[in-house]
Amino acid sequence: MKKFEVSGMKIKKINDYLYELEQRSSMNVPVKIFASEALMENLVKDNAIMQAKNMTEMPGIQKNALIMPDAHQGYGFPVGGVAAFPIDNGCISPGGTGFDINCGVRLLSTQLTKEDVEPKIKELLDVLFQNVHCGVGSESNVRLTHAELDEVLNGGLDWAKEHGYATQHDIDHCEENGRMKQADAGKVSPTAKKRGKNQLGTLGAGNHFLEIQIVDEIFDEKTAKAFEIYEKGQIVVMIHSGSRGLGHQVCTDFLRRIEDELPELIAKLPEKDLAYAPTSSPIAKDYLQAMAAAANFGWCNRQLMVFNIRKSFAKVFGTEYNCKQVELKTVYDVAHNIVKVEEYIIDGVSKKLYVHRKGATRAFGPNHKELPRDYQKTGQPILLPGSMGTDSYVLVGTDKAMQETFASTPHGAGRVMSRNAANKLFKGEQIKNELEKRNIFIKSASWKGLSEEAPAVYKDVDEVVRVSHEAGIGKLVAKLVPFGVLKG
Amino acid sequence: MEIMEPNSAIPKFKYLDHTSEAKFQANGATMEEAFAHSVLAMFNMLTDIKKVKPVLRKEIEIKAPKLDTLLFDFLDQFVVLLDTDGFIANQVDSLKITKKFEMYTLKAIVRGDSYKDYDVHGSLKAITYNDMVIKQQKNGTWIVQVVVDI
Repeated sequence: MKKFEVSGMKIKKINDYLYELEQRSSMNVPVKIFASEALMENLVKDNAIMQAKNMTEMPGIQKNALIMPDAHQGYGFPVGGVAAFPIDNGCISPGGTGFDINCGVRLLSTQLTKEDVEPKIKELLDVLFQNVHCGVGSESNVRLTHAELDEVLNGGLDWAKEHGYATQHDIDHCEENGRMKQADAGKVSPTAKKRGKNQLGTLGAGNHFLEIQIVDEIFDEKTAKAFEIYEKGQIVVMIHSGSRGLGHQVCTDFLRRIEDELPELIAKLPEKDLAYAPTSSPIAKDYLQAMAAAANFGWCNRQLMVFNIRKSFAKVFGTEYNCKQVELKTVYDVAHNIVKVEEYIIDGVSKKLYVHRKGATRAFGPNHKELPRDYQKTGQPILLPGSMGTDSYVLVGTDKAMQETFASTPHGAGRVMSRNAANKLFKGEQIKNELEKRNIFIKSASWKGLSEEAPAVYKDVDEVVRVSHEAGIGKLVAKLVPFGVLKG
Repeated sequence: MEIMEPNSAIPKFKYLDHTSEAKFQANGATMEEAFAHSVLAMFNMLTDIKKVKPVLRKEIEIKAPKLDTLLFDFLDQFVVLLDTDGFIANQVDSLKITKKFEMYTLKAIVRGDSYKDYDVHGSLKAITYNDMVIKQQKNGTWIVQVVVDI
C-alpha cells in the first residue's frame, strides 16, 4: 500500500475511497479526502490538501473539511472543497464559494437519436454558434436597462418565465427553482452590474462549454428513465457556464470589503483568499444577498442559452423531425459554486448550516423536501461535465452523501495540467483534427482556447465518477459522450 | 514563454505552472516597472499583445493602504475594463507609485485597443491573492507574481 503525505503531515487510508489527513491541534475538525490511490497521486502534488487544512481552522466548521475526488489547488478553499458552518455562530467565505458564483450545469433531454443528428451535426453547430455567443467580449442578444438587470438579479428564472425565456417545467427542474429568494440587487456593486449587463445568455470561455452529447451507457435504467434518459444513442445537450463577469466581481468586491473592514482577521489568515466574515456581521449578510443575486443571474444566463438552443434546434430540425417531436426538456440544473442553507443532523441534533460548495455538486438523496416531485423517489440528478472530448456523467444523490458529505459530490473532471504546460504541448488545430477523427465536432471562438482545454489536461473523469459511485456519494446513472462541442 | 525587452537581459514577464489558474511573474528595474509589466503579462495570456495597436488611452488611479492590495486593485481595473469596454492593454506609458500618510497612490496611463480586431481567447475572471509576490531581488530588480482566475 502506498503511503501519502503532504508538507510532513501523514495521510491515513480509511478505505479504498477515503483518506484522512493527520490532525494537528490547530485544526478544529479532520480533513477527509474522497479519492482512490490513483487520484491521491495527483492530489498530493499540488496544494489542495493544505488548503483544506486551512479550512479546518475556520470558526465553527462542522464535522469535517471535505475534499472531493476531482479536487485541485484553488485559492482559499481548494476547488472541490466542501465545508459547513452554523448559521448563527459560523462564518461565510466568498473565496469558499469561488469567483464564478453559480457556475453550474444544465442538462436537456431530446427525443432525437444520433442517427437523426449525424447528417446535420455541422449545420447544428454553426447555427448554435450564431445564436449562443461565446468567447472574449461576446455580447448578449438581450439588451437590458439597469432596472431590468435588477429584475433578473432579484427574480431569477421567474423573470425568465415572465419574459418567455423559461417554462414552468424549467423552473421546477432547477436547483432552488432558479431563484434564491434572499437575493438583493442593491447589494451588487455598480461595477459588477456593468460587467454583467451585456453578458446575459453568453457562454464565456475557458472550461465552459455547450455540448451535444450521445447517451453511451445506462447503468440504472429506472432512474435514467425518471431523468428522461431512455436509451443508448439518445441525444442530450449539456451547458457548463456560470454568472460571467457579474458573479466574478461580486466575489472580488466582498473579498476586498472583508480585507478593508476586518484587517485583524485577515492578518491572521494563512492566505488572504481565505477571507471570511462572521455570520452575524453585516458583510456576511450583504454577501449572501449579493451572492444570491449573482446566482439568479447565473440561472438566467444558462436559461437564455437554453432558449437559444431550442431556437437553434427548431431551425435545423423543425418542430417535428423523423416523426418525432423536437422538444428540449430540462432534466435538471445544478450549481457547483455556491453557499446554501441546509439542515443536517450534527451529534444527534438538527442544525441549520451554511454549506459552502466550491467545485462540488449538491447530491440530495431520495425524499428530500427541496427536490421536485419528479425526483422525490430517485434522489437528485447530479450532472458531471467532463471536458471537451471526454465523457460526462449523470449520477443520482444518495442518503450516504446526506450523512457523510453534507450531500456533496464532485463537479467534473478537475484539471491536472496548467494552461501554460498545455500550450507548450498542444496546438488547437491538432486537437480539433484528432477529435474529428473520433467523430467529435468542434466549433470554437479561438484555436488557443482549444489547446488549453485539451482532453489530457484533465483528470480521468471516469476515475472521479468511479470513486463517487464506490464511495456511495453519488450513484452512476448514465454516461454521455460528446458529439458536437461549442467553446469560447 | 518569456517576453524580452529589446537589448535587455531581463525578460519583462514569464508564465509559471498552476494547475487550474494562470500564474505569471513580471520583472522590472523598479517596482513601478514590474507593476507595469504585470498588466502586459496579463493581457498577453489572451492575445499576442505585440500585434495590438495602442490607439485607446486609459488613465488609472488607485489608492490602497498596502502594496498587495494596490496591485490587486490595479489589475482588477483591467479585468473590469475587458468586460465593460473590451479593452486589451499592450503599452504602459507611465506608472507612478507614491506614498503619503500610510496610503499608496498609483497613477498610470495605459494604451491598448478594443479586442474586436484581434485573435483573443480565454477570459479574465478575477485577480487572486494566491501566491502573490511583490519583492526586490538581491540584484536590485523587482518581481511581481500574480495568479489570475481565468
